[in-house]
Amino acid sequence: MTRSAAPAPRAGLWDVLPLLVSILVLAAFGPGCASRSQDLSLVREALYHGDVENALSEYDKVGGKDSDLLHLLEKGYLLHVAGRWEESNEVWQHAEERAEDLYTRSITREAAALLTSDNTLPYRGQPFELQMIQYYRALNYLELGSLDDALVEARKANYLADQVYAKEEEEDEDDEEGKLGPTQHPNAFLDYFTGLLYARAGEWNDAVVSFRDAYEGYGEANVRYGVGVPQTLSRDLYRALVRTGQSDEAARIAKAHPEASPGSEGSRGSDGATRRIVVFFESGFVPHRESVDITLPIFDDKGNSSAWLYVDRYGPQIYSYSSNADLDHVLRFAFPRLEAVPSPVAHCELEVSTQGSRSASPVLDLRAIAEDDFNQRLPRILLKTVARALVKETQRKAAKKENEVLGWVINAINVATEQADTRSWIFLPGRIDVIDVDVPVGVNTLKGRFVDKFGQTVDEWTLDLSESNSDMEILSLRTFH
Amino acid sequence: MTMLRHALPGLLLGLVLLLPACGGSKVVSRIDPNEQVDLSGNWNDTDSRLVAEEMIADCLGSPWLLRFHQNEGKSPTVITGSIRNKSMEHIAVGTFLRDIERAMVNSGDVQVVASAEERGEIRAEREDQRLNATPETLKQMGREVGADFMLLGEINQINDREDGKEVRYYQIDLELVDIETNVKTWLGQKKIKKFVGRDKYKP
Repeated sequence: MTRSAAPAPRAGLWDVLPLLVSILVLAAFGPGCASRSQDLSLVREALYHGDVENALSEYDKVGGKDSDLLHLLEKGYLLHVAGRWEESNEVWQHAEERAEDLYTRSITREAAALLTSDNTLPYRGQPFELQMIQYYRALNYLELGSLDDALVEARKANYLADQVYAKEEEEDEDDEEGKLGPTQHPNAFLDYFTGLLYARAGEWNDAVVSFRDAYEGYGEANVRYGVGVPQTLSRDLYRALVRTGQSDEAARIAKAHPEASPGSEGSRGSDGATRRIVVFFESGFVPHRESVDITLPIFDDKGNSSAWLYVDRYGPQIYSYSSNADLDHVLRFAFPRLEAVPSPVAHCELEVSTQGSRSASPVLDLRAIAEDDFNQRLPRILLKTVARALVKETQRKAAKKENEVLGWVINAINVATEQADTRSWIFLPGRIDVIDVDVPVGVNTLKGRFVDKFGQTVDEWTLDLSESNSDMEILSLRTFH
Repeated sequence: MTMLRHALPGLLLGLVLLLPACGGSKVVSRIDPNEQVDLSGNWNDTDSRLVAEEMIADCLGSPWLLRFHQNEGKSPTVITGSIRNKSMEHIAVGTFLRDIERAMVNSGDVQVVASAEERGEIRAEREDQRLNATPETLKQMGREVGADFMLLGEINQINDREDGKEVRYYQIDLELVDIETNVKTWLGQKKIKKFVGRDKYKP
């Protein structure tokens, strides 16, 4: 195979040495080629088998730095599912602080990303990912028995939701991958969740505000994601409105949702003989990013063919090339695509010995939010990929003009550094369902089930309430199927 | 030199990519606990100490104390109740309570008795002494000093943010309630407003 026919001075080894060193540096310290989900495949496998301790151990082998937001998000999550509530909260506290620090962008790094890949930029997290921290931290504090601290998380969640709404109104507000769309957030779910926390604390004015925001949010989300106003939310809003003396609005809710009206089962409050149990069922995974790599040999004008002819002729057998065409350089594009993770879970149910099984209602479709978020970012990602290719090609051409060997070295660096940014918080559940039941005092064992479309149990959990002395419990169950 | 000019971008990139691996070394130095250090803009030890000192100074400078001395002929006894954290930060309320108790006790104008949480442990100790202590050192049951007033409070927070600029507003409300009559004897309020600015870009 010959290189460009254009005359170029010969390069000595001494001249090329700095670049060879830089290639070695990049090879040694640059980001790996595997996607984030591939890096963590053993962790996910351990989670799939319910072995959380092994998952943590595998995760520690992958390693990570405390300056890496993604590492903090993942580590905090694994500690959460391992029941190490305090450690999990500590890690997530660092994650929140790190996310704040990352508001300031480094111009040097942004420029480096344009010459190499977005992997050189620190991971900033997608807005919906960062918003989920408060949900999990609040659950951790509830497990630790600290309702006041859970309420701190609730207030933070509401504040962040307001920030998200405010950003939507700013047309020019965007991040490195594009503008935040109007529906890519879990605000309605978080409003509902925080409303439950306020209700549990007896802070009914705050509860009304959160439930009302959730009610409106689910109305908007319903159009896009098919998650309507959960039945339990209309009941909660009705109760909170009655408690705060807002009878006109309560009557409107009762009219729109008869199941929430007085005398219906849904309107029943705690009477001392029952306690309220709210269980969130988390299943599946959000879709994750995988890499699309396109490597094209570009041939000299004097050669037998150009790239498109070559591709036309050999199709996918791109690496079986063995003709005598003159290779000019190699062009590589890499950008992320989203890969769905199918879940067998079709619905969830809670078995109360005295009442039989009750089905859960979907309250959050994170899969749809992640897809929507990614699809809105994709045009910007592709544009950036093309811009990067142009910058790299200009650099290669200039080098080749000076020296042919140097041109090839620059080409090698360009190819080696072209990697898709596949980072995302892959452990998040794809979907969350909720059950809200009044359980007779004395019934201390409940069974939560994740069920497939054939009615077969995918995963089952037993909830022990014997140590609970609260008249309202908020719990969560997670299946990694 | 021409070669080096083209080599430079590659080398620089290599260095930039290496930067995160070469994190700065850790530095630990001792500083005066009273020195004001604001890092994140969150509620910190300085806020806790200053608020406690200023509010208790205000409390003890109010007319209720003089009236109590005149009417009762003794210093009032205060017990600290709950101070609810209704902010968006995990504030160490325990530290704040200790700061308040310290400011009160050090003033010499009031006496502070153990809180509801602490007295359980003290009572358990007295119970233990009944079995294990010598008669001459045994402390008697039922001789606790009953508090005249309970100090209650709340910390609220309002944040406002636009791009990299954020204003954090804390309002701390304390109230001294007469335990016998439920009359609110003193109401104190302290406000803290902080501006946190972040640059959008750095070199």
